[in-house]
Amino acid sequence: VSRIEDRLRDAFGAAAETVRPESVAGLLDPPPVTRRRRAAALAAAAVAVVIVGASVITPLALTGGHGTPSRPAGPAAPSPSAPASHASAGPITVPLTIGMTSAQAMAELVGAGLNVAVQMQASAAAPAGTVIAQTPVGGMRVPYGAAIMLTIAAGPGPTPTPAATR
Amino acid sequence: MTAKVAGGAATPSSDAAARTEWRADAAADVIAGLFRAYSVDLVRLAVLLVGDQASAEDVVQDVFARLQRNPGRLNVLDKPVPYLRTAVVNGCRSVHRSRHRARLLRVPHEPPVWSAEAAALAGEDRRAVLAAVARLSGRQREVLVLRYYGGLADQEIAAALQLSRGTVSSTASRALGALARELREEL
Repeated sequence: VSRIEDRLRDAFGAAAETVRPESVAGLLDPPPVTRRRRAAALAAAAVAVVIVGASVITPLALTGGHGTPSRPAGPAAPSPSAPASHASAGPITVPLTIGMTSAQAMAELVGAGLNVAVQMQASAAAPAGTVIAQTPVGGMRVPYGAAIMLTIAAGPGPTPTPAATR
Repeated sequence: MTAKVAGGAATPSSDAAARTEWRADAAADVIAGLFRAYSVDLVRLAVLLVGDQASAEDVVQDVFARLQRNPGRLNVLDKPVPYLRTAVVNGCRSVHRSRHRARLLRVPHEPPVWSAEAAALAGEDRRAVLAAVARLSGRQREVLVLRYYGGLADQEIAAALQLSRGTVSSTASRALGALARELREEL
């Protein structure tokens, strides 16, 4: 590994961290179609969770899956909202998300300090957009930043029962 | 350990056979979930390619707006992450193209986070490295960012940029050579 590669990793990482998770705006309203109110409410909820959970947001599904997730608080730029307790992240109990809508599930997992991987799978039985499988399963103890694979029902399906709001 | 970003070229279109209509509320929910999980990472990726957070956020919002307008696209996204990554890289290319046009009209844009002017990034050495990366060709910059920030394997970079694997590795080594010369360093 050459020194120039190390310098690149360091510089890219530092520049990426100038984007503070809490500074990223939520999802804008979709272009006028249907269900605007619902989408707006979801976006607002996502923003709220971002703010509340800023200290435990773990990036990065973009890392090849073999790196440790970058923590929000680097030594050079500590997040003002990062509690010290997260500096020594112990094992995390994986929440059970099967049956949740994907937005709820991802908010739950990211809020718990985990990474999320997603795959879609056609399902005749489950409502579209709900989580139909999860690996590792709920209740397992995993390290901070571990990746949880969610399988989400794709396509049309039966109408979901109204989801419990968080 | 997980297949979350392994392989899988992004295939944003075609495959009409797999195409079914999503119910609007279910699609909105999935899209909100994807945004929740990946927006920060994608904005960070875009910042490295376009330089400033405002442009980076615009690129990412555009990608999700397109998904919202065409939720049927979700059906071909058995692996959403490679799709989102490729869409963001393509969006960043559009930013560079429109900046090129704007430069002809002398319209200024936000200084990059690694400029001394932006004062967002500590460390003169880091700023020099990133400024040198910014002077590379677009493809070289994309390959280096995906490899050394994204941590992707060359195979995954090839899929994301729709290049051959050989082109990825030759692009990377030429880019590293150019940087080493510019930064006066042995490879």
